[in-house]
Amino acid sequence: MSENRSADIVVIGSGVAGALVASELAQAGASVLMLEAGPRLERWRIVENYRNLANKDDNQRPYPASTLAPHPEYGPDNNYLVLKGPDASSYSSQYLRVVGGTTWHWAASAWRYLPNDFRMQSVYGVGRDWAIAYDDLEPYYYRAEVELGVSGPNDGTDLGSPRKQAYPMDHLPLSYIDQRFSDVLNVNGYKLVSEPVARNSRPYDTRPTCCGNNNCMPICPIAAMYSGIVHVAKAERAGTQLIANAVVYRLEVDAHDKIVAALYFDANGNSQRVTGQYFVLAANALESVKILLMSSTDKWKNGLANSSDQVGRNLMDHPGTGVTFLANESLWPGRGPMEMTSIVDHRDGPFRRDWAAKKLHLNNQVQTRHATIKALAMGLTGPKLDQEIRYRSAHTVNINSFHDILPDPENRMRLSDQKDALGLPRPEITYQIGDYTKRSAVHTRESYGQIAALFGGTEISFDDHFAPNNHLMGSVIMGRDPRDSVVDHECRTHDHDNLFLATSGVMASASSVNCTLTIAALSLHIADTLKHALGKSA
Amino acid sequence: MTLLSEPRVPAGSEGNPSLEKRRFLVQTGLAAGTLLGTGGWIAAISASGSAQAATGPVESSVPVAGGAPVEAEADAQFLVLSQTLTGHSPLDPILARRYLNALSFQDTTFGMQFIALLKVVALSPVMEPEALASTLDQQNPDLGKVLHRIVSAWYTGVVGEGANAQVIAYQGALMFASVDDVLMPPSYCRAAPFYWTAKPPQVTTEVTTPSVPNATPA
Repeated sequence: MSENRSADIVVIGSGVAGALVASELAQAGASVLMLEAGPRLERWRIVENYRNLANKDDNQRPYPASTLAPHPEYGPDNNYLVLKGPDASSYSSQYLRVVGGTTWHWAASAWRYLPNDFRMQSVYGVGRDWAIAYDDLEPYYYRAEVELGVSGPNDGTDLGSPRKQAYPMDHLPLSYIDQRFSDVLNVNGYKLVSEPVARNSRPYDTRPTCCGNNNCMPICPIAAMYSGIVHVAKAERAGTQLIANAVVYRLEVDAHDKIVAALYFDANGNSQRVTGQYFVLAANALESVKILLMSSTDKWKNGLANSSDQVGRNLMDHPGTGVTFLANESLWPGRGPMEMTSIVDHRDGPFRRDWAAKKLHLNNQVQTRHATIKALAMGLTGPKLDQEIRYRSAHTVNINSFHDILPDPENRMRLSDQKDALGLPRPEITYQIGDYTKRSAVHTRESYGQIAALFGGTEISFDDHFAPNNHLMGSVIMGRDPRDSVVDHECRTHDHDNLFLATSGVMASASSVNCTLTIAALSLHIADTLKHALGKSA
Repeated sequence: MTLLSEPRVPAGSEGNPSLEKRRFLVQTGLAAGTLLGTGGWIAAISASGSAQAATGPVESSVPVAGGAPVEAEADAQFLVLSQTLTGHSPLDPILARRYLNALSFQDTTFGMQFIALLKVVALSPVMEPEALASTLDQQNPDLGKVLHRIVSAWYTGVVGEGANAQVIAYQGALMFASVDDVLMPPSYCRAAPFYWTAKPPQVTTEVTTPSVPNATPA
């Protein structure tokens, strides 16, 4: 098949955001060209890569980075991200440059943000307001839940985000450890809830019910968990032309500030050019910034869409801490999917004027390997080794957290002097976590201690280092004022009216929950805007 | 329940010249010790001498005539030794061979250490894994480390560390046998959906006090 060199819509990036836009537009009859920097990977191969992997904690390794489109690797570190600043290691993020994107490995947590998350400055006097309100996004949240296949508590549980329809699927019945946590914590002042997840509790959208392979990260072997590859397939079936191994390095802009073409290096390193009417940059919060900054011209000296000088700034994530302990009862984490419940009593409230909201979540991951490493370090063998592994596998509890962080223009990504194999600059990131987040983490640590005590915890081990959680936000921030923001309420760049950014980079607050469902909702919003613009609205 | 394929040997490991060389060293070590018979430990005892005798130079001038039988005997001895050290029997002879290959490949002295350990175990009045381990940890810490390295390989399915780590087994790693009535190795499915709601068995064994706090697995 010959490649189209022009399309109504050129989508750059094939993760959940780009794939949803492509799928929607192609189904509406638009011609869509989707460019993906990385290669195609088959699910079975990823599963085999995982089983052959020595360090099973490395979620990136089953997805070998392409030579021409590297993504961050940490075992060993390929130094793709150039990390600087006091909290550099807390932004050692993971993302995938492959067809389908980073939702190949995620916890599938599909939360809606809270209404107040969209108006942090107005309500709490910190951070920034979005250019869109929760109520504007609510219908798109629901459509995203239908598209991704979200199961959630239809039992009246109030998660703080008003909804007009039930979840498409009821939540999965809780594993024993999650039941015990629910029983114990909810009578002791905590609010532990079933987490809405893009994971099937019944056959849905031709994919099976979760059967508890306990391997959501790095790969669900049976596709019971949603991944962007689902909508890549839908987009292609509807006529989208997907070009893999197409590393976009420049957007061309005309004298009227319209984007007219995308230039990319193909698998042989040759430059190719495609044109389109509208461009949707959906290459994640960092790679999208890279493309905008690399596209600078005499007129756009600081890069495209960057008259505000905010492109690459306001980087956010959900800095995480954790605790591990041995409970005084056998809870056996690892039966069922990797995560089922969250503790949500500090997602919102007046305290947000002073310290960060957070969500704590119970890890339901099989602990056998970590138990074994500990038991071997004790010098055990024989029946005692088996007993120790069994005891620790049954009794180990691990809880982690996401903390909110405020958008700070000094937390930013620039183009590094260091280059990748194609000679393109690597992302250079400067990152510092402020007191707003640190104050909350102190409180989180107290909660960890109390929860451990409720389960008679021993060998309590706090992990106070802020871990990255790979929720890359803020880098192309949304706002009403073109002087201090990159995109408007439609995720359209203030500077180029045919350029849309479908990425968590547009998010103006981090909130305390996984950002994927919000990316999906915003992407469906973009799709509607483009359908209308092309006269293809239903 | 039938599981899918074991991890394959990474390309280049089988037939790798340096790997063959390391196997050669194991074989020559065995041949030099002349301790391998079909009688298992008894044969080993009768010909062993002291453990120190086997810690001499790795380079042996003894030619490896009839290499295949010697190699097979090394594999067999490693299998028997592994069963003794772990307390798990029978172990998979194919995995045993691959563990021995990988351990020898990663450490050129492993062949001699293995022979020395064979001899000590053969002479030991006790064969219980824990007693063997604690005796060795106290009386011959170097060989104790070899023991723990072998046990660690069988339990984790991995030989070596970091960039050198080599996966020999995944679902066949012994760690999963300890919990196989409750848990599956991640990526495998245990039973029909929602089995996880039922109460699992209670494990009441107290946590063991570390007997060798500084022991480090391979």
